[in-house]
Amino acid sequence: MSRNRLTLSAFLAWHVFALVLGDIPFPGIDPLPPVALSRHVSDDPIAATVAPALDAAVEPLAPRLASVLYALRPIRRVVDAYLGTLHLTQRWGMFASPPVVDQYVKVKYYVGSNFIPGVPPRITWTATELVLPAHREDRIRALQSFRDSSRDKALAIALDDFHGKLAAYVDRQGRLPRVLPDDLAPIGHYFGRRFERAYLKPGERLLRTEVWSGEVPNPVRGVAMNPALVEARLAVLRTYYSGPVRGPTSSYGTLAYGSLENEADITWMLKYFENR
Amino acid sequence: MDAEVFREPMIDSSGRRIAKRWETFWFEDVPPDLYALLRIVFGVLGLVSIFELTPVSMFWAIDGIAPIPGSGLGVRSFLMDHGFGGIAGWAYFLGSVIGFSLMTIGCMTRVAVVSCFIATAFLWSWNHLPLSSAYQVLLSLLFCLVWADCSGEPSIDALVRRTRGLQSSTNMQPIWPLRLLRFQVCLIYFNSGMSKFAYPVWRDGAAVHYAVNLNIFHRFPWPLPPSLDWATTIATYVTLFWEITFPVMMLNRITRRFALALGIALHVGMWSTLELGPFSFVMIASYLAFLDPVKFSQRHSLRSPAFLKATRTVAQTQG
Repeated sequence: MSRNRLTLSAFLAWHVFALVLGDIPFPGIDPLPPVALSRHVSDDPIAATVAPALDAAVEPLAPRLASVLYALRPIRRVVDAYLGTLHLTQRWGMFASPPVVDQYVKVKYYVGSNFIPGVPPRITWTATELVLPAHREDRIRALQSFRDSSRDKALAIALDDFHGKLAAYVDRQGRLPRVLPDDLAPIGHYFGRRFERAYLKPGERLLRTEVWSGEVPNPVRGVAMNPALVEARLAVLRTYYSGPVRGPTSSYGTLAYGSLENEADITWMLKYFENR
Repeated sequence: MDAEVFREPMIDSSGRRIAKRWETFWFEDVPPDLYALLRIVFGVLGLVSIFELTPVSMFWAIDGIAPIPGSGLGVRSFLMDHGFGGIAGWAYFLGSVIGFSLMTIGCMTRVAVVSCFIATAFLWSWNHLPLSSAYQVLLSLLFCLVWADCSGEPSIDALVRRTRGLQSSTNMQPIWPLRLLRFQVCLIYFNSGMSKFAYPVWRDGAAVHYAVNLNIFHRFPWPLPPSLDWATTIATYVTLFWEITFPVMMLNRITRRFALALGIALHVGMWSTLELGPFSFVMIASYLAFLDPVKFSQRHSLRSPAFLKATRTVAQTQG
């Protein structure tokens, strides 16, 4: 074998090794799921047969694998540096842990006008816009939805990033502090600016933007959704489908992080705001 | 004494055999046509992925739906502070469009493929929020294509070579970028399968039930009735076993065909029930890497008969 091929062989062997090792989630480095047994298997005859066998395989495997991986941690750090430099860090856990809730995000806008120096600005009107999901839930998603999926993805990842950091911010009593992670700020900034350009008249100004996230648990396997609840939720969502909904003039003085609001079966929580 | 005499040459010969196998496995020369096809397909998919990230002001501009500048090397902060946030976003977008267009048509191919890889790699640092697994797959596959000369026909480069009276085709190419590509696809599935295996929701067969019910992803507005839960349970287990066993199934011609056919069926199924952007297309396109480059060249090449004849001779010699 020529010297060139020998060098290339060494690179290929290292690269393949790095890809394999870099792909494995490591205890203490990557977020790992706790070893837990399957649920709700008795409802489904196929799952009742297969799930116990799979559980039996994973239970003894997990601690052994963890001890091997623990020993390999120093090499993994070198691999991470290599793959990070090439931007090839890989995580292939697509839908490994699919969310069990439907997600929604709405943005509330508070508009003021007739600004007088020295006088606190007065809210003249408000509006609320549903920004996640980007598509109508009562129609089949076709071509436009292909493009909309990027916006949905961006908002869902921003929410994931926010929730991932939130634990470090919450106090011992589980209360939200006055300062929160800034992962939802891009949503408030972007939609706030877009709303200003599209809907504000001369002399009007956006005083405050709020980002609310809403969740509705999806039914577990074997349980049908209540049609009345689904219809009530769709009725609420349909009001948002034509664009921002103008609301009553209201004060935001008492609204803090964690404020809750309900619409049909959607529970909304205020997770970001900015006053201008 | 006798044993010692015989042992050395045996070890030597088995070592040589392994080295020879290694060399053939990674460094065998193959016709360039499959690389050309991969260049075109991933060029088009790159363009599709870029245009999916529009409007430009939403995903490419620094003040769009993008993380607040302030981390990393500070490039985004610098551009934002100097009022170039929007212009830089447009420049990045147009640069990527030009790069993938050049890659697709095979113009300045080597530079284009490397540029596309670099542009795609830095997109994560620029704005990771709208990027899905399709982006990760595309990036990993582009990395493999960087190492091959993908300017084979049909391409502008080949046309230029022909006009200049040179041989229009590129030379035979080493197979190792293609092997790396195949390995990468196997790794994606195996790792994805093992990640899923770690979660109870996959072992209890309910994962697909939850996935197809998610409002962000589901394509149809009505929920699946409980009477169809058996179908989602089967889909969950089939996906899990297929992903984990995918690399093993690639080792045999018959199981490889079965695994790839099942893969196409599963990805078409995913595409028809879930809106996942270009993910299904990118994964199905990656299966092209599993075609035999010699047979592909003989059946589908647009190149000159003389080159094809030479290719057949090489194939026969190696066969």
